[in-house]
Amino acid sequence: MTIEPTEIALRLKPLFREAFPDADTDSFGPGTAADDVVGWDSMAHVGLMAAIEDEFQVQFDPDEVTGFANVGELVALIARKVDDA
Amino acid sequence: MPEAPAFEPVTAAALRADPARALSLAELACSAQPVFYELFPLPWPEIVDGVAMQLAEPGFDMEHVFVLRDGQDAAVIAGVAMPLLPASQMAAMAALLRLVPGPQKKTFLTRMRAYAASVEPIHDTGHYISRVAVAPERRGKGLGRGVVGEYGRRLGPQKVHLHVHRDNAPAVALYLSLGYVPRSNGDYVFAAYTREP
Repeated sequence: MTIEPTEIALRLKPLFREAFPDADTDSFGPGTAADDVVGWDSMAHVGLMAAIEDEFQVQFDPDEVTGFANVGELVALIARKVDDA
Repeated sequence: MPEAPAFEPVTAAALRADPARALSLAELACSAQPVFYELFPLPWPEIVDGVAMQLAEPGFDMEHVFVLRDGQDAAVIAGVAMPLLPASQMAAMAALLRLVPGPQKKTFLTRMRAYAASVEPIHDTGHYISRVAVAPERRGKGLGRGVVGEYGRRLGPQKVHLHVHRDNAPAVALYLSLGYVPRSNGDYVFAAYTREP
């Protein structure tokens, strides 16, 4: 199964809003990194990854949980996992 | 006279081949961090199952596991290189969070955030040890000192860090006697201690 990056980005928006309620998540782009985002700490990160697993029906390997540098790489990771599923 | 237990590494592959031992070792490892695992809104057997899975797969914060063994695992200790600690702890948390029912995830994460604030941060080089536990029927024989001391010797001249509950007087005394010193006077429930090289 494949999924377009634009669809992934769209479906990520509510998950970002839920994970980072104090951040301006509408301004997130491919280059947005955790350090740029208010409230993107380790707990918020783990919660976000759990929400992504539920939304896209994928399961991240241990090294994938933190294996991306920005939102663009996260989208690519999700696309890869959905492809492999 | 019975032989002294042997200090041995336990690999993830060995535990994949022996699920019963993985479960038993996970039970022991979980007993070292009751406050942490009690936060999970899960039945104890599910938590132990989840930790057994982590012991049997690479990439989590129990990267290295050693036991004192004399036919059974009498004591355990786990460790991970400091640079790998944050990512491996998040991977472990994510794996356990997967077991938490959806509606309870948010509440659980709030509780976990409060727990994290009670743990003194360590930003340093070296190695981090955790899950120091002795089987209940083997306590009082110096096996805790045995695993911490022997692992520390094997790590050689590098910094070694750990956390201990501030009210766990016997553990604090053990770590002080082995050269671990508090990293600060901070008022954390789980204080960080370091053994310098």
